[in-house]
Amino acid sequence: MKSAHNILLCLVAAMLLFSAFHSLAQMKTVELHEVTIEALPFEKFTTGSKTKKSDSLQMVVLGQGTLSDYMQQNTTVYIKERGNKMLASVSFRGTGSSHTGVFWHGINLNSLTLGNSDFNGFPLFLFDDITIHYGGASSLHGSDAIGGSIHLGSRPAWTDGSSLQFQQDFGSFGNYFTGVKVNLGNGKWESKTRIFNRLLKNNFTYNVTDRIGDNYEVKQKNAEVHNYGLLQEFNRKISGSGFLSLKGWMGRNYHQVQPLMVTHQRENQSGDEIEDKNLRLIAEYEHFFKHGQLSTGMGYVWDYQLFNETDVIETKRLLGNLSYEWNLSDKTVLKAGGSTKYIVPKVWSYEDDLTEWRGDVFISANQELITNWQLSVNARKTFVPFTTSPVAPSISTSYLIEHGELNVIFRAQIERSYRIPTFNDRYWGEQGRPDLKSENGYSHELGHNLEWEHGDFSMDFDVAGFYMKISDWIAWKPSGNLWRPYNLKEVKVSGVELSGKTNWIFNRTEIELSGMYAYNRSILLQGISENDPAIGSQLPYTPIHRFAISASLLMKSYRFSIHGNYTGMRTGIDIINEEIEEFFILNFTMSKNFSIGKQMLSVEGQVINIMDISYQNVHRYAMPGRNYLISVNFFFNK
Amino acid sequence: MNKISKLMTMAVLIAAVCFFSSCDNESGDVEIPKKTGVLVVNAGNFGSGNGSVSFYDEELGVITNNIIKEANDGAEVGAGIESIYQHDGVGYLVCNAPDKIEFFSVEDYKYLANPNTNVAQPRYMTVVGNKAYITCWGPWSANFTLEESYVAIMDLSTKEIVGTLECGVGPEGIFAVGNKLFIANSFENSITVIDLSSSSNSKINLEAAPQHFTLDGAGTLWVTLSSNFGVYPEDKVGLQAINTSTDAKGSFTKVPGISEDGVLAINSSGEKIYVLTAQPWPGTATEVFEFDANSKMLESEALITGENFNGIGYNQTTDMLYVADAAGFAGNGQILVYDVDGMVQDDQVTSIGPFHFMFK
Repeated sequence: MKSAHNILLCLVAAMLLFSAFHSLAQMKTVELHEVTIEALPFEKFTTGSKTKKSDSLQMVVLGQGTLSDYMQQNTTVYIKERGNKMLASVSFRGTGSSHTGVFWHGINLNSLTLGNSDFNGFPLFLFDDITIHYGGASSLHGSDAIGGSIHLGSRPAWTDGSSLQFQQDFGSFGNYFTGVKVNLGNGKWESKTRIFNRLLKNNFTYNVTDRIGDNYEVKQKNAEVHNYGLLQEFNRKISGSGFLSLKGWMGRNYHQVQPLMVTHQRENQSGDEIEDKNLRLIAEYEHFFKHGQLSTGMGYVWDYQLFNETDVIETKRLLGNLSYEWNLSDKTVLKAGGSTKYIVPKVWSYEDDLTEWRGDVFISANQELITNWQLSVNARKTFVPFTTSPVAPSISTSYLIEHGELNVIFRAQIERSYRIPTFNDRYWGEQGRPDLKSENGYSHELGHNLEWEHGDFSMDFDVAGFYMKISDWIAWKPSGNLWRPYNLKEVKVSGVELSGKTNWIFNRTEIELSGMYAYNRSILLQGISENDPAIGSQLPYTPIHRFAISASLLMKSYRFSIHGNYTGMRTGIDIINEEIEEFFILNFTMSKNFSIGKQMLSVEGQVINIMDISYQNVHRYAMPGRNYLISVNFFFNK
Repeated sequence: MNKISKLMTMAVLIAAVCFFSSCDNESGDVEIPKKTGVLVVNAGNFGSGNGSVSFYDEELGVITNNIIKEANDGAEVGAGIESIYQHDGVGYLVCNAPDKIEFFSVEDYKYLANPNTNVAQPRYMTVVGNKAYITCWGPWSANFTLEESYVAIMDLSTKEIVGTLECGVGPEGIFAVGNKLFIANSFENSITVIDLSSSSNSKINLEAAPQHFTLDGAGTLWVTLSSNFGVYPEDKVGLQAINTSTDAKGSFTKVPGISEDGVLAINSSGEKIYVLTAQPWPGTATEVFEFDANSKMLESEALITGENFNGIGYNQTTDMLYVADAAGFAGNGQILVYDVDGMVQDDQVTSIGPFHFMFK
């Protein structure tokens, strides 16, 4: 472990030195205004993989929502939500909840102790955009990016002056949301502030039948949500060719734990509750040279979870990273770098003085082989004490055919990804096993994208097919008189994703139709033991089919849209006897903008679950029927 | 333009409605076997409400999972199930998260009443006369200790809790011999003995944590002792004999690897006691050992060895030994049926966490 740590330190030091020399050698720097910071740092090395970016309209419609709402409505990724706005975990391309990395400016937000994230803990209001990177990408993002990765971000707007947005929502079941965004700046520096408060009483009603056949309506109890958060960002251009950004995100997510549907029968129950508090601080500096770009950053992350006011899980992380990107020619880009983190967990069952150093080194290259034929090669290695994670390489390629109004892209990718075991897996009391291996993913992917624009009509169609094998999947099982984690399971996943969109503008009217579909087969090859009955079956809570459709009409200052999303049959963890019914939820949105000069007022109404479908996402947890939301947005200096 | 938007909305609505009309749930086609056989309690995952009961027809070698749900138009137990008990044609399910006692007809599995929820962390029960006695851990305190453990008394006619009895910490197994109750205080090293006729309440002190009881053919009460996760020494883990008349401790036999579940079963002659153990770490195997109550000898070799064994039961009518393999509670478990020589006769997939058996 010590040697791995030393190697890492040497590598980081070497990179630092090299970057310093390189910078000295190329004192001529470039003016920042030539450089647009549009794409995320990794995007030029993802040529053969599928990525999807949020559009600003989606972010506004879901202004009060969370990443869980976004994923359910705008992607075919499955979100397992244990009741309305409760703990929401992800199954991306048929993988497990800890096989998706969620990143904020490169920081992995997954819990170090549990390995996954609550998608209802990420409020959309705080972010400018969401980039979804489909498929394995540990070579770019490190641990957890096996099924996919999600990048929450903001970008400098270089505000010159000031702008303000104020949002107030009222909805069914005691749903109140207040949010404010303020941007200030003079073109060289800017301050971006986002702050929100959300309350949800969640006291919707549902029907139950008791043991003697009486049917009655009950009101949901113990399902309140109260979240608030602040995201503050300062961006500064330095001497024309540098860019400094300081970001701080402070959040508190409190929710009572919605009980099982049968639990209402119990009188005077005191339910469970969970409070999450997080602080994430980042300082980033980028310097642009004539042929390259130096990026460095430091960060601090504090994650705190309190269960029922007694049980605390806490981790603190210090992070540092450094990388350099060379534009060797206009066809070749090379990037290398490293990062390190120092982790201090505090969990009652861990040893008191437990701390851990981890480090990553990586290299990425992109080459245009011939015009429109791109090739990316990436590799990363994470160093973790007591255990090893594999070198994760990836190779991906894309070819673009331009034919008049038609653009056709073919993509292909092969990669290896990994997930480092959680702190619980490695350090829980006597049971944790520090030497557990990382989980391993191998995937192959082919994709095709077609874009056609003809006058005011445009369409886009994408298809992706993949095959993935995940091995050394960690599961806990009895061993001796205790339970311990082992690298036991193996799963193969194959699937197809289709998506299409058409857009037609005529007479100041815009019509957009879109649809997407995902097919995922996740089959257990090796289970908890040789005679595990689940071998050969689809994993639980992994729907084979999911689709979403939407239609919107923009007419002058009016907008109407209808959106439906379907989640197919899936099983509970009893894969033989527990089928959970499919559901299709239809939502309708209507909005009207009133503009006066640079000021705008937008009023929006939503009907959610129009058909009043009674459904369950996770078995035995009630979900609300038809409900309503009114949202008022005021933009000053838009 | 309005027309277009209307048409579009209509089209999507129609598509959605068509879609939904094909989503009818097909259930209730399962035939409910009313014959004798084996009920398997699947404990489920804590807090997930997925405990269930399976019925195994030993004659045909067929299992029907979720039998209570199937017999009650889809109304599942909706809790974890800690234990099962039958008395006078009524089946009792002692459930957790939510804590409750469910009542069903042993013949046709129909629920007989709304559950009694006036119990806190109920564990096991027994019946004396017209009253059931249910061990209850009581609520967890703020620092995860049990400070309000008790035995609940339930009137079988009204199915109401009519009183409580005092006991030690973490009462687990409960066994009635005549008018006497023996209660295993599993968070400490004692058995509470309550004489229901005189209301006397006393304790038998032990050297490890008691879990469950069985009465052998000669009238000796046996209790499994575990280390309570290392609180008590490993060499005190085993089978302890109790004289039910004098409450005196009899012989002790060391049985390494008896877990905190302390599961045991007894054969039809009341001579052989089967105990479930786990090999010491780093071994991961679980084993069933045979103990002779007369000679007080433990077989040196395990009768059955396998992974993830979670419970055992003995069908005293057919002399078959049942083992529950819970597959780590991570998915479907299975039951394995053995003859008394430890030869496997059948295996069947169950629901989540098969644990206890009841023979009807």
